Amino acid sequence: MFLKKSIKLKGQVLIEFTFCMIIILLMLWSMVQIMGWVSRDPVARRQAHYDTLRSNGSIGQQLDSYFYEPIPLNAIWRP
Amino acid sequence: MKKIHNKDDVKINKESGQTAMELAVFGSIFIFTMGLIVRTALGYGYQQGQTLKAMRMAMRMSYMYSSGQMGSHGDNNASRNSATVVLIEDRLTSSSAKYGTVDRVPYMLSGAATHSRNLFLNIDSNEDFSLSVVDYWINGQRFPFSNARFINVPLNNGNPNWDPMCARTAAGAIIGCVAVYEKIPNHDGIDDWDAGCDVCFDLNRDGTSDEVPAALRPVFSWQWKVRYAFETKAGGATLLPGRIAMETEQVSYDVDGDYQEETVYSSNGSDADGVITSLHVIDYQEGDLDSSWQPGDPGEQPGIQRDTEVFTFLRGQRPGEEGTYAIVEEGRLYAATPGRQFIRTAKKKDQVDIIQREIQLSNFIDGRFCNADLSVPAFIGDDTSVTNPVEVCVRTRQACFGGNMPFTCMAIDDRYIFVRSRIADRRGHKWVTDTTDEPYVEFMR
Repeated sequence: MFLKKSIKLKGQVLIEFTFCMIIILLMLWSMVQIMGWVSRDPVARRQAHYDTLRSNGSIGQQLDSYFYEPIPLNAIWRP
Repeated sequence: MKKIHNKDDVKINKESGQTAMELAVFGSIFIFTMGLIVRTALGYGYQQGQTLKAMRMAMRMSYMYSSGQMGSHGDNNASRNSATVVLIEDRLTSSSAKYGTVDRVPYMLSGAATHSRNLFLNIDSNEDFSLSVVDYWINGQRFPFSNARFINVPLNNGNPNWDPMCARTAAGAIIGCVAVYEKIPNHDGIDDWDAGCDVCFDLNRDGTSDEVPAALRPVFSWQWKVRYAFETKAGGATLLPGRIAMETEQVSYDVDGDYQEETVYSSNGSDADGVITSLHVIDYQEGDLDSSWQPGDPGEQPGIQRDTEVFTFLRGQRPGEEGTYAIVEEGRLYAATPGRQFIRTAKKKDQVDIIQREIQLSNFIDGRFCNADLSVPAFIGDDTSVTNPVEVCVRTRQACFGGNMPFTCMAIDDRYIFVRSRIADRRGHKWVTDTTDEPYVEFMR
């Protein structure tokens, strides 16, 4: 009886651990994506800044304060 | 009766507990780290966005004013030849609170730019609109603060620099005139520098030159050179020996006794003896903000003060008002959907943050932020491109509270502006979950 219970508990631990690891891996993936976004977004903003400054539009367009929209975060998947 | 576990059974349970505990601790650290990264990234994103925005605003401002597209005087406007924009914004930061994030963090950045279209534009007399201005943007409200103003300085015996022993008239009488002071820097290329001139080192003009020891004078950074507001006229007086007459165009002298130089624009004339009676000058201490102020100078420190206060007003404090709330409801969503069950979770935030900042001005200038009769001008001076951010004009600071609490208010006697930024915060969510087929809930029984 004891052996049977022990095996059941081990199985439960295994399943719980697997589920937790899946969640942790998803979170790790999200974190990697967020860290990537944290680096890429300022670069993209600065690039957009210079691109509009060097564009052929009017000076008003070149100096528009609203020249940029953040790149997608894609923390879980890319739609 | 309580079951007694054997030793191995207890060990297995203990190990399961340890796994759960480790997972919980590790998960907490993990989520905390992620939150920290997001928060740091948010702050950095705000800062970078503001830096670029301030720079673009400064460039645009310099372009618009120097090309005559802003301001009210065509292309004759040099006020933003070197445009400076100071951005102050109180941004929400990320946090986990019941009604969403409530914390605001101030971000303050500045940008400067020069458009060279009218870089060497000559400024005519009384063109205050062409004198230098710095623009503060506080949560979207624009405050253009002038750094200088045209004034006429009377040169009579009420002037602090009046010297009764100035010149001798044709009849032999000694008459007075005003001494004006020029700052001479210590440099080999400047001929006016004279390390042996004792009176030149009377820095505070109290009659004794004890401020700079004799041994240090050759290496001291500056000295005064005294001139006199006098012009030689036929039949007029002559300056006493050793005295030098001032120049009256495109020179800088301290003519009003504030130990700071003014730019002399022109002389307003002299009397029959040749004593200049008043000067038309650009005074950099007479604008909205005196940027030359230093600790120890008279008066209060001009500019934005350290005191900042946030007042939060919530809707829904009176019966019948909907405001900030968090509710969980269950039951039918609509009367028209019998037999369907839903759980609804709703959070709603309806509040106004009033962020108060205080600005000490150096001078009250009639017609800029307030009129002397306490009426509120629609625009700043004669610049119709800038709507006046001040909403209420009163005499003293105390009158800016009470009923005037929500408004941007200027106390003209104290030369003090309370900037009240009203930031509405209306956010929320409503989640509706269809639970009709949930076997465990069974609302319909």
